Amino acid sequence: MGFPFESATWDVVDGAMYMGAGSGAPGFYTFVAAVICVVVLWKGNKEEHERYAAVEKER
Amino acid sequence: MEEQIAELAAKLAAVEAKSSVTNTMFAETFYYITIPLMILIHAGFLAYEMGSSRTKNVLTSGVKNILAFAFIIPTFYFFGWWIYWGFPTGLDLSEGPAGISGAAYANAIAWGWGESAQYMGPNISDQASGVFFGAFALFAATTASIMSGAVIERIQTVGFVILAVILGSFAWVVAAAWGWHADGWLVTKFGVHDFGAAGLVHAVAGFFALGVLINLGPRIGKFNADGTANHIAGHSMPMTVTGLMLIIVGFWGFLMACVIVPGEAWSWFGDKPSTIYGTPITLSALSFNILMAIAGGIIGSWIWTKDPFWMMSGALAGIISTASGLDIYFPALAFIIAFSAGLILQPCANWLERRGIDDAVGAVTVHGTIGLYGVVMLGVFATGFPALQGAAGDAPTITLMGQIVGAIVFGLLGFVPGYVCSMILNQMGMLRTPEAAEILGLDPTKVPAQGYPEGIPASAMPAE
Repeated sequence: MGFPFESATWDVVDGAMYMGAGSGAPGFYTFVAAVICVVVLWKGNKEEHERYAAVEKER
Repeated sequence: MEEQIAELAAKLAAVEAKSSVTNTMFAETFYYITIPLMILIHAGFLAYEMGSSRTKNVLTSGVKNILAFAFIIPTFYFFGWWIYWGFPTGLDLSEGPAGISGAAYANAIAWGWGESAQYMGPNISDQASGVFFGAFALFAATTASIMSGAVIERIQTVGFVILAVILGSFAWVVAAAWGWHADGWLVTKFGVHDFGAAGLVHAVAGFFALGVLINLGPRIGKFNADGTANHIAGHSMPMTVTGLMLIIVGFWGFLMACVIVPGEAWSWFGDKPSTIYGTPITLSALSFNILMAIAGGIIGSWIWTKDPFWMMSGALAGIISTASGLDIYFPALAFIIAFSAGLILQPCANWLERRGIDDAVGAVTVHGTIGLYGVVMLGVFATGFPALQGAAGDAPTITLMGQIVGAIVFGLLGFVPGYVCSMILNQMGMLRTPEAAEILGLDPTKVPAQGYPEGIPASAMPAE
């Protein structure tokens, strides 16, 4: 991705200093992080219900 | 002579610059320290609810508490922080008199994308946004922890996490925007004052838990056919009581984070600390009143119950009952109010239990009932005190009616989403664990580890 400023020196940085500053990258990362949370909940719920089904079957 | 003046001016500018750096570092460090202190609240709730669980459920209780923390932090980042800054004036998302609220303001500082991303990540010229966000995210995690204990031993893990996110990253945040913000309509129109969040954190979380408990139902074996209740003891009272003490330790950080330090561009004042409403506060005031409230709550509970669980819950109730006015109570008055909270604690919990509510740790009472009690008590004793100061124009004053309005709004902001969302989850089959799993135990059902793989050994002490 590279240093998001014209000169490769911290002297020119007086604000945001993270990777992808000033680009669309933060929004992309935020979106991916949110999707991870949703997918994990979906998968976690599926596996949790498989466990419940197994216990009910053994009963 | 002119050279000497110029030299002195340069030295003065240098001193001022150094002073400014010191103040900024102090302010940043002040809030930074509150974050690990508030994580102690979460650690305390973890121990508290694991100790209150039977051995067959102990790890499941821990897993859901840990997950609540893990999911609230990112969801509060994704949208909770935006809600706090966007909603103060109400649902129209307009800008308030202090100019630090509304959709436009929130869009500018609280999204993790676009221009506002600069305030939601590392920024050499912004030493405030991250620590403020961190403190608020931990307030959010606290609300979920409060609910977590009430629902142990029969709630599904993912269903609980969804409810925790709704509570921690939405419901309490709306309450905070309305009643804990200089532009909040409860503050500007009704003079609601809730310095330490008795209503907007504790009552919201407690009544959210009540809404969930109604749909969740009691644990198997809690109630007899005639409606009488059985006591389901947790497996470790020492763990529970130690957890409660950790929560109390963490609350020093929680209440510290409610103070606005002076001298920064975002401070209310250059020379004195303030509450979030711009009214006076000192850490000394907190020290006086928190300590007296803890003592009053313990003593009030002890005289009624003689039970260490309720005594430590009484300590918590003592803080919560006085939290709204920890900035202005006289210490002995804080003691008296906390003592009364400790006295009514167990009777209130018993009253709830007689109505078929199985609140495993008394969270609805300790946080919900006592939270509202604290909000109203401030109206009884502090009527006429200015509720707000500074940029918002005419300063509303604290009134009993205003505090009652605040208490009602906070109660509803907790109960309604808790009840509605848990009802929807129940209809989707995502709320209650199946009976077979509950009887077998939730740990053997779904946790690939054991809390006590070698069992809990009997006491080695000889009988004689």
